[in-house]
Amino acid sequence: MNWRALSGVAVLGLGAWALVSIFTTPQAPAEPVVWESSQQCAQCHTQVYDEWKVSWHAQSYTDPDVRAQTEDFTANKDCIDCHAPQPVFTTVLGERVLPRATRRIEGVDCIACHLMPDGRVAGTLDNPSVACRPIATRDLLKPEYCAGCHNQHGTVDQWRQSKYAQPGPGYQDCVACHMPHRDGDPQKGRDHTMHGGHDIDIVRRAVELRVTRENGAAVVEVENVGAGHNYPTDERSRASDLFWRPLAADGAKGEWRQIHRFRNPYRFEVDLVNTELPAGAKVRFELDAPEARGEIEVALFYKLNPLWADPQRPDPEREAQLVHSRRLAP
Amino acid sequence: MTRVACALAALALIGCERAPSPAGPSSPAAPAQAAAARADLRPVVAARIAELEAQLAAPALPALDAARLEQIDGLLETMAGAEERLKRAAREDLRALGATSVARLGERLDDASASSAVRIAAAQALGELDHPLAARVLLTRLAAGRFTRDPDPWLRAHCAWRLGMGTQDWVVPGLLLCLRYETNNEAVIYIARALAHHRNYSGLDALYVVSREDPGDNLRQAALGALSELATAAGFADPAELYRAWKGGDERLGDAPFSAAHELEVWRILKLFGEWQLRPVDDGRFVLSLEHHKVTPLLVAALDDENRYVRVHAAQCLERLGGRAASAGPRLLELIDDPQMSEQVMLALGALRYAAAEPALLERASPARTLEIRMSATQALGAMGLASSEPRLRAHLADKLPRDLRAATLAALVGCAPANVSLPEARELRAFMLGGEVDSALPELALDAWLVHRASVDDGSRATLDAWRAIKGADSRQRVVERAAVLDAVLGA
Repeated sequence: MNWRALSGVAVLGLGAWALVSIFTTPQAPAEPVVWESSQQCAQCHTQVYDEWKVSWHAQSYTDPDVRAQTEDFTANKDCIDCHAPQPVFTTVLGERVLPRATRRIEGVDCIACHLMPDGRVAGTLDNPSVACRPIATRDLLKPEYCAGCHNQHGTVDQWRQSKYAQPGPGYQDCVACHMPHRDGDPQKGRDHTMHGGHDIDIVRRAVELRVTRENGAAVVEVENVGAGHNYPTDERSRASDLFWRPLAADGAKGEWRQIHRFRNPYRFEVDLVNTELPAGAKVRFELDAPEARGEIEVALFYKLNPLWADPQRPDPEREAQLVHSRRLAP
Repeated sequence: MTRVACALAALALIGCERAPSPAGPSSPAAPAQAAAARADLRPVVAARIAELEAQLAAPALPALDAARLEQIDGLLETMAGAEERLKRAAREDLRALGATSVARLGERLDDASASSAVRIAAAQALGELDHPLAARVLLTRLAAGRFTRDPDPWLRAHCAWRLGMGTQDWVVPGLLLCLRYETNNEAVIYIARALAHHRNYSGLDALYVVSREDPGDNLRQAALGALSELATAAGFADPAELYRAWKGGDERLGDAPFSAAHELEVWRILKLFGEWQLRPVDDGRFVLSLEHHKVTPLLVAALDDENRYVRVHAAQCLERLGGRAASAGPRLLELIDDPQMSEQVMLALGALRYAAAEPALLERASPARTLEIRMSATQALGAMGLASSEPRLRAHLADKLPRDLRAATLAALVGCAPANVSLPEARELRAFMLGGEVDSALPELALDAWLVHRASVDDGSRATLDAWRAIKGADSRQRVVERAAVLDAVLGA
């Protein structure tokens, strides 16, 4: 092909582009919107909004437990910083969050996570012509994004020390587990229910419970096989308790006896130590009670609130959620 | 052909110019009022710390030889004995040894194998040295309960007692932090006493709690006794009068400036405000909010620090100090448009009840401002409680306001002119309290204030207030429903 032919093709292409530019009306930039509530987002993003609405992020300010502990955020205002934060991009990604004055009841909402300082929103594509004028922002996927709040209790640091944070094929960050693609399909976007410690299924995937006999003694192992951070993570509230009980030949079940508690105590609990199970770690217990040589049941329970109604006689079946249970023959 | 190509290219360029530029500097300006970044920021905290540390630097103490260690141990044994004359002599000898004995005394204080009497003697000797190093040892031992299982809480009470007998006023921030975490009520009483010795009465709240709630009669009586003693020693008729004076920043309680060492402790806490972890920030906010009102100039100076978090949290502390930080008003007003802390500054102005800020707050509560600014300004006006704010606030109610702002405006009306709050307005607050569309605490507190006002002018309303306040459940969802039922007697169903 000679230069004349090449020039012709180029000119024709340029001409076509010019004609399209002239005769199609370019989309005007959308009017700036004042974002006052995440309900505004629901007008277009119904599915995301509905997912978020049932998430615990949406309840971070209204959760009765949190309100009781903070006296409705009046006696303790310090907790507002994370439970009703200013937009993360306003306080700057990677920095600590600060409290906001409005729409606190919406908790960690669409605006807190997506609103940019210039009034546009962080999203997955650029589109200046729609109301929220999104800007493609990969920062939304970074662990630093979650760290402003969640690393206050060490969760992101726990992940950083795990194998999941190492570059390579095994790398998995916060969103990989807590905001997976819907139906595993990247085209469908990420699930905004943000499952975590309130979802017993995700808790069950975090740990394995194994029971065996060694020289007749019951040996119990718990291994953190699925969480990219400690099991359980967080401070103060979450607890996981390992119990066993004897099973009689007639089917009668003995009382639960506690073997171990996995928990990070709160700052006031000076007489307790952190017993959380780091990512990939396992612990082993040998039951030396004579009854444990007979048939037994071993169970791992999970609690969102660490307190027992009667600390001397905890009733895990009534007060906690069952994670795993194993029976062991004599 | 060339001309056609040129024409097409020119047309194409025109087309390009018509295309919008979605990102970059040509984007439309954000609607929010973007106040200019401040040019006067500087490392206030770091500079002041460096200055004070240089001023207070002390020479290292010599290590003690075995003979001197033995001498100190012997003197402690003597102090722990029964003979009063020998005790006195031993105390004088230890005082004569001065700060060189601190390390050994600290070891004996921590020595779990030593007798209680020896450890108490060590605390006494450290206290009587009245030296910064000795006070640091006592404070560290007092704080030990926060970090480790401490089998000897009684020793913490002794440490607090001794810290309340010297001149080391810089221990106050440390005492306040210990007060936050202390679980032993005997130690709490002595911490409160030590604070009062240094003219800080933030321990009064804790004394009231112990006097009401401790299961043991002895400690309840001890707390009551401490309350009376502290009031008398401070020159007040009773604890309640002292309490009011303290909360109001009464000048009678502020006789001497902070020592340089005390000031240094405050600056060190302010430095922590820049930390990423919230725990030391929370501790710092707690401590500085309970400090003497003499801390106000330091907090005001920190409002010019280059670290945004230092500035924001300093403003929060001023808000929590409330009327005790009244002298901060003028500077806060100057900073009302600091783009990084405007909301916090306004809340502080409201809590301080700095009346000169009213016009500025009214302007910022107007529709020309962003919702966050309007919300904070409105809440500040409500906290300030000036009747002159009422007309402008009421005028806003004629507009269609976002729910948060409408609830805040109604609540502010209660603060400014409770007598003028109509029954329909109170009903609207009641609806906000129950509706789940705004934070129920905002209308609940406003209705509480409204009932207090009604009870103050109408004896018949007293019963309603009492019934309202008798409902105390921690679950706010249930509590507001029950309280709403009480209100219905006044408002109609």
